[in-house]
Amino acid sequence: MADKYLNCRQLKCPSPIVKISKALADMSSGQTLSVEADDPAFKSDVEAWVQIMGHELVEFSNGPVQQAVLRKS
Amino acid sequence: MRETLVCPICPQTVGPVDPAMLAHIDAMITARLSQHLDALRQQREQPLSQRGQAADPALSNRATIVAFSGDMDKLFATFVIATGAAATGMQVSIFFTFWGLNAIRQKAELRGKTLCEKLMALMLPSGPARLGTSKMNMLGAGPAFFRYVMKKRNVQTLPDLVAMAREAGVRLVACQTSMDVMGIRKEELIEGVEFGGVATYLADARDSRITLFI
Repeated sequence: MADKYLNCRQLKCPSPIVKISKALADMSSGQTLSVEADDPAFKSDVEAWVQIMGHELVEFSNGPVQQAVLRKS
Repeated sequence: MRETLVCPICPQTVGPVDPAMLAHIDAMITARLSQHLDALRQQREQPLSQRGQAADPALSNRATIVAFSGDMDKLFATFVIATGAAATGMQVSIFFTFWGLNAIRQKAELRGKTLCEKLMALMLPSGPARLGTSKMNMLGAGPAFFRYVMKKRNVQTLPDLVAMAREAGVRLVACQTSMDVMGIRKEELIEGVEFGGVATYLADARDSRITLFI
């Protein structure tokens, strides 16, 4: 169970990563954030974002609604 | 049987040497070299995108954009990139000059302006909701069509993106000279815009790892 949930459905770039960025900023190290989105660019953007920011992408599931779980470093 | 040999590099006579030892040394050298070469080969074959933080550490984590164009499509790119950069922790500033100033206007003022300035004010779009596209403008039908499609696809409007960029901490700077030339007054611009000249831009740009002219 993630510490926080974020619904980014219907949101297109750059909204998902802006929201993720804000959400993680308010969380402590080690906490997890679960995000749901349906933008095709989401997977690539989330992977790039965690790489830049140094956080961890714990899991990612594809589907009509994609789900990503991030852990703040 | 031991033999003497002449070193091909020095050239010194070395010996007597056990040929088995020689073969062993040869094998060790080859193995070590292969290891080094393999590592170098791998590094060379890695696509740039995977080389991690290859950015110049001397450049600070900043992005600077010159928003010269007043086309809706180009300004979209400007604001999406700026906001995205801010979301990755970069310090972002956008310098609005010439047509780009239209993106940060909130209203058109006519009072107190000279005739030339009044004409300019009437001809220029009064804000980001009214901009044309760089191609397929078709007297305004193009952007109207794009706005319709974007609304259907739930893409944010340009005014929304401007607000989002500001909220994300993007610094908006308006070029003072362009404003004078186009007769745009401070009061016509949205809140929170700073004013500067080329030195302001250069101070940011020379330290930015991302600089764009859109």
